[in-house]
Amino acid sequence: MNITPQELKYFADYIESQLGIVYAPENYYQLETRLKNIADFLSLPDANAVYKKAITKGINGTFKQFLLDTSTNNETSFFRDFKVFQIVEEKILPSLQVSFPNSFNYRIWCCAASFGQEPYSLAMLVHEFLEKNPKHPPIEIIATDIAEHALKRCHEGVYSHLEVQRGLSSVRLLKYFTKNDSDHWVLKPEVKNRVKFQTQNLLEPFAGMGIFHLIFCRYVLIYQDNERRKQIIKRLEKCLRPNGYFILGASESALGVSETLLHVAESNVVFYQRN
Amino acid sequence: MIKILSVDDSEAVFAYVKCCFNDDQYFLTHAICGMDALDLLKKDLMGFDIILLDWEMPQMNGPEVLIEMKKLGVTTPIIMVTTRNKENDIKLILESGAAEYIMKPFTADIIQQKILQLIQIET
Ligand SMILES: C[S@@+](CC[C@H](N)C(=O)[O-])C[C@H]1O[C@@H](n2cnc3c(N)ncnc32)[C@H](O)[C@@H]1O
Repeated sequence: MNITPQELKYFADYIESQLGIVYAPENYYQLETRLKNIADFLSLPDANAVYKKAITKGINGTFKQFLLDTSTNNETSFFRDFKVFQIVEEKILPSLQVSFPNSFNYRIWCCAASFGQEPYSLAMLVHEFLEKNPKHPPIEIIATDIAEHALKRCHEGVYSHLEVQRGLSSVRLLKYFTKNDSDHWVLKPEVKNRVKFQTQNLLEPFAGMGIFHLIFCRYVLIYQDNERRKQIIKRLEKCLRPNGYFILGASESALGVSETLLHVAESNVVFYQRN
Repeated sequence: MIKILSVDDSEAVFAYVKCCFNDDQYFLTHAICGMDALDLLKKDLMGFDIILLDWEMPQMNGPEVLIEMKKLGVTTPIIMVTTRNKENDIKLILESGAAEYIMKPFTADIIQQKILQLIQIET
């Protein structure tokens, strides 16, 4: 039996309430494909049966996790928009001690980690920076995501032949990875151990996250509506130290969200700094 | 415009490379062997912005061509493009002076991005 638009809307509303991710009716076909995958996963005949299960038994446990996981877009790559990483390498890391003279421990939060390429790219830069500046205080990286399947890949730190060629230079590939027998590349502990992973939904309170010197929040707010996007940015700003850096994806903007989040443009890269 | 020299004895591979650069931004020249590539470079050492070099070729293989190019004084970034994917292969090629290494199979976005990144670093 086919699933109706009203039934799809039921799932779209549920996903929006849980993740803030908005499915427009013209994208319901994507949702339908995802529900078919969930039907396979739950050993149900079709998407309609998934709907029946949802309205009779509720959405919980692995069903909930799988539904939320498959609703996320996890597209990512190493050093995505590499100019942003150049700014981190050449400007932000070297200025930490000057910008925050009273800190003894520096903290970076990557709040949409996806499969780990972004936090691990930062970890490579931090590793290289600390190698060159052995007396520098420690720099900690926390990476979070809502999708459990994505965090699982982060923990594994194993990437395909295509994934390691997206954005990663061959020099860094050799330096930080070893190839395993199935032609995948395994991240070495010196970089892997620099990142701590946690589950965090951006819509939920950031209890226990603490305060950061740099927050990477890239290509995740694009899926949120305007109001939620603003709320998330405001709450993230509260987790930033004064002078702390805030970096969004290239197509995203925090303009007009907060008066204390200053817009900085350098070598064609836009980032924000808390006043 | 980015001028690319692709050194590859296989027409099929060259056809694929051509698809990756089927855009006015790129101008692609094909050399079917190392000797032809070296001849082109002898005529105009700075004639290209990027050189793509295959490994397995009949007379002179990629690593040999790479060494000859370096002897000639080529400073253009050279990218080895090959099915070989052992860590030691990559190491050898980078130590011989190649700027990048691409493992086949690859996708258009991978080769384009590596080129743009190298050119940006150069300038
Ligand atoms: C397109 S990826 C971006 C990954 C990386 N930041 C980058 O720029 O390459 C978006 C990620 O955001 C996560 N995500 C989506 N909604 C979220 C939410 N409400 N809370 C936390 N993470 C979320 C998804 O699971 C996905 O891994």
